[in-house]
Parts: sequence; C-alpha cells; structure tokens
Amino acid sequence: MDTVSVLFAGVGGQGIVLASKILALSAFLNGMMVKESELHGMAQRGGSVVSHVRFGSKVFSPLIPLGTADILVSLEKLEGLRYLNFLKKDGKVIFNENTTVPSTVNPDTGLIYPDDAGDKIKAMNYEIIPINAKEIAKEVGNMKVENIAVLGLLSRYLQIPEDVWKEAISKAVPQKTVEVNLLAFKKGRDLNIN
Amino acid sequence: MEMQRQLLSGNEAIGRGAIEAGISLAVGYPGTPSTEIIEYLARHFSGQAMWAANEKVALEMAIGATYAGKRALCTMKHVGLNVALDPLMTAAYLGVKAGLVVIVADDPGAYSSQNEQDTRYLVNFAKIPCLEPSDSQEAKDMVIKAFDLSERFGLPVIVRSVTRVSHSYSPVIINEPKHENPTRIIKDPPTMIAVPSHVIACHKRLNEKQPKLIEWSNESGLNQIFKKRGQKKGIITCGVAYAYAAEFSDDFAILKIGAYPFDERIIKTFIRGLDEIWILEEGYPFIEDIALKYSKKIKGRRSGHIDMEGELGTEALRRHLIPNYSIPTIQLDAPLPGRPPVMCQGCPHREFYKSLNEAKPTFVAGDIGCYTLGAAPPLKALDTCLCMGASISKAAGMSLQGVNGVVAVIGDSTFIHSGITSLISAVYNKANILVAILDNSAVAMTGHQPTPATGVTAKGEEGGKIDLVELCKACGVDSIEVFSPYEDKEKNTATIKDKLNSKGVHVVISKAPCILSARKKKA
Repeated sequence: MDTVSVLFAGVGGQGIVLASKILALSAFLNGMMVKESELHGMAQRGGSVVSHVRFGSKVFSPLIPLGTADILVSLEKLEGLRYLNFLKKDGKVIFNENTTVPSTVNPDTGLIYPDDAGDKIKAMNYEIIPINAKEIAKEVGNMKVENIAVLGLLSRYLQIPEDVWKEAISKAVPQKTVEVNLLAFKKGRDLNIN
Repeated sequence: MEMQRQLLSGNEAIGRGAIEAGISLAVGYPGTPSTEIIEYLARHFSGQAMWAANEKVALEMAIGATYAGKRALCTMKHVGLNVALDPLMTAAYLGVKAGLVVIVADDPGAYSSQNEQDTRYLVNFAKIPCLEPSDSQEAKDMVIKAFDLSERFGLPVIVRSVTRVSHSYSPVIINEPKHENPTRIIKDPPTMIAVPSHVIACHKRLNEKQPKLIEWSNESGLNQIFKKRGQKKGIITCGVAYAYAAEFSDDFAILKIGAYPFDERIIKTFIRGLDEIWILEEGYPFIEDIALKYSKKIKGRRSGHIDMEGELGTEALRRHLIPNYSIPTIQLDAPLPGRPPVMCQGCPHREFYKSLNEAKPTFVAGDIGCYTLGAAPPLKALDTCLCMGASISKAAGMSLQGVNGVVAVIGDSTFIHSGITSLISAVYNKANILVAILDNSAVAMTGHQPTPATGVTAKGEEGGKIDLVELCKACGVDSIEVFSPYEDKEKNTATIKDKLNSKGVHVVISKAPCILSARKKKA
C-alpha cells in the first residue's frame, strides 16, 4: 500500500493538534484519502501528546501501527524518544531542539531528563533532521508558530505541493496570524541542513 | 450541484448529519470526547444549539422538543448517559413523537474520563436501537439514518461514538439539509404520561418493537459480511475497530456490525466454514459474549488474547495476526520520565490549592474537572475523586460520621451540573463541611465552554445569568465568602482555616478566570 504515516509527538500546548490538522488538510486538499487522530481534554493539559496522520489512495486505520510510521515529528526531545517505537526501520525523525522538563523529573523520583535524546536516536540508526524552531519563532516575532516552522521542514519530505500547504495553513490558523504562520513555514521549509 | 467534500472530525460530521436530518434543537453537556458536536452546531447551525446544566436536563429538553413535533439531537460522553439514564429508560417505554437521537461518545482507554464503560450495555438495558460508525462519513450517514429510525419506531436512538471516531478526521460528502418539521403540539396521555396505569401497556409496546428492530437492522445494510470464496479465517468487528480489522481484509473475512440489536443469525452465517474467528470491538466483550453462544473457536477478550481493559488500538490484533510480529525496541540506559497532564503555569487552581494545603484540612473530596489535577504531586491536595458532583455529598457523608475539617472542592460548572442538590442535602442534614467552589468561569477541561454562571450561551450570545453567591445563600449555607486565589494568600488560608473549624456548611468561592481563556482574550 502507498499509505504515508506521520506521527506528531510533543507536549500538550505545543500546537500538535493544529500541526497534524494542517498536514491532514494539505493531504485532503491534494486529493488524497486521509485520516487523522488526535486527543483532547485531560490529555492536552501539559501532558505527553501524540497525533496520527495517515494518507494515500486508501486508508483504513486512523492510528499508525507500531513500527510503521514513515516520519516521526518530534516537537520535544523527550517525547520524540518516547514514541520512537512507532517509526519504521528506515524512518526519519524531524527533531525539534526543544527541552521541556516534565514535573516527574525531581529529586523524589530520581528520574533524569534525557538531554542526549538526539544522540540516542542516532545510535539506533534513525535518520535525524534537526531544527531549532523556537529560534525561527523568535525571528518572525511570534512564539506560537514554532509548530508551523517544524511543519515547514516536514513539508520537504512529503509529496504535497507548497501551494497546497499554504492554502491549508491559511484555512487553519486565525485570520490575523496567516502571514506570520506562512513566514514561519517558509523558514522551516528553507532551513539550511548540513 | 458539484459534489462537495469536507475534511471533518467524527464530531463535526455528527453535527453536519444532524443539520442535514432537519433538527430543530441540539442540546448537550460538555464532556470529552463529545464536546465538539454542540460547538460545531453552535457555529454552523442557524437553529438552536445549546448547553444544558447536565445531561439529564439536556435529554429532557430534547424530549420536550419532540413533543412539539420537532427533531432533536442530544449529546454527551459515556458517563453522562448515567446521569441521563432516568429520562432515557422511560422515554423508551413511552416512545417519542418525533426524531430523537442521543449521541454518546465512549472513551476506551479513559484518556479523559473516570471510567471506560461501554454504552452498548445501557442501550440493551433500555431496549432501544443503537448505530455505531467507524469514521466521519459513516458518522454523518448514521445520524441521518438514526433520525429516520427513531421516527419509524417511535423510539429514542443512540449513536455510539468513541474517542477515535469523535476525534479523527476523514473526508465527508456534504448534502443539502432537510427542512425542519413544523411545530405541532402533541397530546396523547397513554404514551406521554408515565403513571402506573399506563406502564405495562407501554412496556408491552416496547417489547413488541424488538423483533421489528431486528428486521430493520437486517435490512439496513449496516451489518455486513465481506467474505471471499475459500476464506478460512474471519474477524467480527464494529465501530472504529472495523478500521483496524480492515487492515487485514486481504486475508480475513469480516463481519461488520453497525446496528444494534442485530440478528444473531448473521453470526451463525458468518462463522460457517471458518477455522479461526477473532472478535475485535472497542469497549467490553458485548458482541463476543453473543458470538460465544455459536462457536467455541472465538478468540478475543474472553479467551485471553485481547486485554479486558484499555483501548484496543492497532496492536491488539496485529500482535496475533502478523507472522514474526516484532516492534522496534528503544534501547535506553535509564527509564524515561513520564509526563502526566498538569495544571497550566499561572492556573488559579494552583494558587487556591497552595492556600488550602496551608490550612491543613483533614480530608479533601475532589470532583471532575481541571482541578482534579491537584491530586498529583507536588500539590497532592485531593484525597478522592469519583463522579460529577460527588465531592460535596462525599464530604457530607464523612462529616456526619464525626470527622471534622472535611473540604469539598468543586468547579463552577460541575457545581451547577450536580453539586447544587448535594449542597442542599448537606445543609438539610446539618453536615459540618467547607465547600470550595473554584470558579474559573468556564468548563475549562473540555475547551472553555461557557456556563450558566457566565450568562453567555453556546452561540456566544447573551443568556440568563446565574449568581453563584445568591444561589448558595438560597440553599441555606451558614456563610459564604468570595476571594481571588492570587491575592492575599495568607488571608485566604486564614479564611479557610476559620471555616474548617466552624460548625455548619460554609462556602468559599475562589474566583479567577481560567488562565488560558484570560490569555486568549488578551491576544
């Protein structure tokens, strides 16, 4: 089957739902079958959050089976590492250099934040494409567009025309923030990767 | 007209289906994963879409609309049906006079709920039909079918959604809406007044409808067999689990159940000639227990192949059906820290809990909402949480056993939902408790829906406004005080301490808007 599966992982409040919705809308506007699955409510309050997007000529399950995602979009380092088992063997990780330390990391629990999450992922032979989306958000002057900058980078690896992405973003974000979102998307898409 | 397609979530598709079915009223109470149905209708439906104080009230309002000859949609989450079960049970006996569809969204895996109960058992209990969609298109189509079914049999009809239908997006074909029914006032005592002299006849009529419902579900095309010649293995499935099962449709015959009650003979027909039969259903083993009457070869929950608890997801079946099944393992030298949901930075509840903890209460009974997160470290401010409105009643029950210093913590919307009657009961029975109403002027957890205390309707228009202070006074509480949790925390602690050590039922209202809606307003 030609189904493409993209898993978004991050922290509630990072705009995971919006980012996955924009990808789903782009695939839909591009004429493909698409299913997207997200979580609301309690799960969103600063907790660990994932969204599933699958598209192609035919899609049954809205959820990505373990070990089959083509791309893992990690908006936060620890969360990327946590959901790595969704990725297929030669899958890619779009890796946002964001560290959000959870409340469980404290002297009482003795748990440690994995600062070297990126190295760990590389050591498991996954291709990692890093981005510092917070910097881009700072550059364009709106800290809320971090997720859209990451989408920009993701868009380079998917067969969806740039214009379709732009149309989807314009439809999905608040009217007065369309411009800044498109700018963040462009900066993510044109990111210089060595 | 050119065929129009939209990418809709299951909840949006349900809302769209209700519009196309020609409803005149949509009413519900917010609850994940059902909330966005009313929100969608509040934005896109020109008629009435509103929030009620609770699910029982919502269903009764919807029944009222049908007595005016109109079609009505009622929405709630699975545990909401427990609250609305009273009107539902007897509405089934009496029957309905115009289309009444109740959407109940289950939450397998309890992502945002206090349990993972399966609505189909209550449907069965009420002896009414239920349709179960597997994606957004089916959700829309089934809502329209449900209204026709409701009017054909004069019964309330339930559409059972689950989290992965309600909160999954997929393409939906949009059609023209049907016209609304004209208003006609209906009076028919034997089928509208549930008094003992009418009950047995009503019950008999309800029972007589049962075989006809099975005939309908047989002809509905919603219970389908997909079987290729020579297939020896099969899966019986329903709802979103069909989407997981369909991934194996090349090798497995599939029986998809979409309408309940169904004719059990379809199971007999399906399993004929199969060597291996799997049951995949989200929730409890409802179909499985029926299927077990017809075959001993069934694999599923009862056989121990699938967990009895939690969401199925994709792996429940894959781990058994994929040869040499393995998933990538993450090699780690230390366990990864978990990330449970927490109260937001700057959340007013946090500040209240700090003051409450300082006052050292004996026992704190919590309730359902964002503030339930106060149970987690580092605050650890709650000792119990059960169901909507239970904080005050539980606190009263403890207090009446001679325990002093008991506090009930409840949100503004939950208080209106079912805390008021608990408060009245506490006053009436002379409990000694402190009731803290955390008033953030929203149903925050489900996405900031307005409450009767805000005086704003679901459509963002001006509604009647309930004054919580006056309401509590009218309930006869011994004292009431309102403070901001951010200001003068020492004084807040002193107030709490003082009331904890006093006889009677005392109320403090900790009032500050949810930080998320406050930030949104600023932006």
